[in-house]
Amino acid sequence: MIAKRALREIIAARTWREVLYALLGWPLGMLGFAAVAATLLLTVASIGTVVVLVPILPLFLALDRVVAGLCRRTANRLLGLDVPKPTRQPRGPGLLGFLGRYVADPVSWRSVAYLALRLPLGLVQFGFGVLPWLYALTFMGYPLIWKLTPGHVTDRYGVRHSSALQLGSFYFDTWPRAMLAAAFGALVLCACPWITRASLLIDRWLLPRLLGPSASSVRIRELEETRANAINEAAATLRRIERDLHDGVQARLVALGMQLGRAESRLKAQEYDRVSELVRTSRQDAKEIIGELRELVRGIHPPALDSGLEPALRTLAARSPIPASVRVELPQRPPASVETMLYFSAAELLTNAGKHSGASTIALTLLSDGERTRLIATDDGKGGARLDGAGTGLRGLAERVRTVDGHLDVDSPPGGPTTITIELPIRL
Amino acid sequence: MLVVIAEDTAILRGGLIGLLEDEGHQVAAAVADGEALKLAVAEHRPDIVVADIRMPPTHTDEGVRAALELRSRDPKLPVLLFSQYVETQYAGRLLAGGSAGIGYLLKERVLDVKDFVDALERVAAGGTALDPEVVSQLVGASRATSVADVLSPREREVMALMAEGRSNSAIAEALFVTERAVEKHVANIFTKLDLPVSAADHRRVLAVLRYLGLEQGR
Repeated sequence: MIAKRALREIIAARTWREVLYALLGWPLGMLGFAAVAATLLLTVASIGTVVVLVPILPLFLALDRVVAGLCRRTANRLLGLDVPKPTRQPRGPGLLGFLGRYVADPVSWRSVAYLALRLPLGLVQFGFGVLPWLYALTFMGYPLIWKLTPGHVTDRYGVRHSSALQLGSFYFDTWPRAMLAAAFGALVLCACPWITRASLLIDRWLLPRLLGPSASSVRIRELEETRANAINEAAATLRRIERDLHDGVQARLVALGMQLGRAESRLKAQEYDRVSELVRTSRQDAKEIIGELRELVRGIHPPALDSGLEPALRTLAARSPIPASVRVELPQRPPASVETMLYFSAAELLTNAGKHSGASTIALTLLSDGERTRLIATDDGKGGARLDGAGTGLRGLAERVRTVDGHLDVDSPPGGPTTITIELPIRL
Repeated sequence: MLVVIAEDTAILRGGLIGLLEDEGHQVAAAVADGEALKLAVAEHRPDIVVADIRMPPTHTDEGVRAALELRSRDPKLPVLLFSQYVETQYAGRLLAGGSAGIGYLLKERVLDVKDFVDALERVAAGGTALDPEVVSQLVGASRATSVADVLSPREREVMALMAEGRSNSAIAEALFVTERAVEKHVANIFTKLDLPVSAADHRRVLAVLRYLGLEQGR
């Protein structure tokens, strides 16, 4: 059993890739060392004569980045890692900006740090990653070596031995003993893949930390993306409100005014029946306008939310096309912005379910553990909801939730039931 | 008189029809875009066209373009344009082709039925009807040497009402003075603006155009 596993590992592609990487450890290490040595010498020298050497330093740093990039790509290819290229900050204005991008760039100096470690690392990797194999193979080939190059040794008892290997006074000069040596070699061979793997552990740990994007740059990129989303969302919402106000309410108010103007005119002409009718229609129109405004306001800030999430969600449930049940377990009211986001998310989930799920009931649950709130919507519909499905708006909802570092999960096998979970941190 | 209406919002279109018919006019057709307007005018040959400026498909200047095209075919066709906002560039384009039989009102002007009907009849008779809002914004945007500066406050009031297209008697009524007084102010305006002696109507139009900063070549 173990033997089979061991044999498999020896011939596994992964093992050979790692051995190759360990082999390359040495040349890459030398290269890195050269680059780093040059850079550091230059840095030290340039402290004295800034004007002359500062322009050259960026070139060397660029060289360091290139070599580090080579190391990174090699590691990605051979070790099966996936370390992305680190993003460099954009250039700031003025001299400070220039220095910041080309000289004081953290990406460059992290590359230098890695390369500085590359040589010792490379030697260690070579020593532990490659040499054991040679060691094992040599032992396995001992019988051959013994037969082809017998060295004659006379021990202190005057006995002549023909062996190529001795361990103290134990001579490997008979066939059984030779086979013993070979067996030892085979054992070591089985352990070799693991030894190689162990030798690469430090590199695996260092690479993402020194040659990959720093945690803060990843976070910044994520924030930039979600910020762009948030701004677009806000602009789209404003446009929607403007359109609803302009096309809906404003036009209706003009029409209402016209009607009252006509009523006034008919009054002067003493056509009282016409006046009566015009005034009645005006009153009707006014009611409709109020209704439209109420809907509009609800889309901006639902009044029910002032009393808390539980009454607000119950109101939503009451207006939902699918009968909905609500369970809210919040130890305390979250901040207003979180409440608003939860409310509108719940509204969207209910609408979605109404449109697409064909469900007969839907259950809304709102929980909190103090750090995060969780909104869960479960319906007994036909399932098959997907984040990237066209027309369900789940993608948009997921993006919006992501803007506040939240998370949306869809569990909807075809045939149902569907469970959608939205998690939001309480502290925005 | 016979009217053709072009307005894309259905509620407003209905309201306009009702209003005009109340006042004894006849609506030959009520359409919702510029192309339909041109066809309706060709078919019904109305006495006046009442059109919204923003209509489908682009909701920018369909009304203005239709009006200019209709006027190029028939320069005497009275056109009264409506707008939700004051858009001075459209007013300029309209008046550039001559101010006879042109009207530009804001939509809310419709709420004053009497004023609206007055404007309608004035334009149909070949006069001008510019919304006071439009006038004040055009004067504000005027790039030519400000006419308003050389006029006295009273003359500026008279000038503004003249620019709206009101007749001398209407101006007198609005300012609570005699018609004689208004005529004197108008004569002073012509002198201050250094307008050449010619037919009074022509000088009036020139004075208005200069006041609104729309005069060619200045």
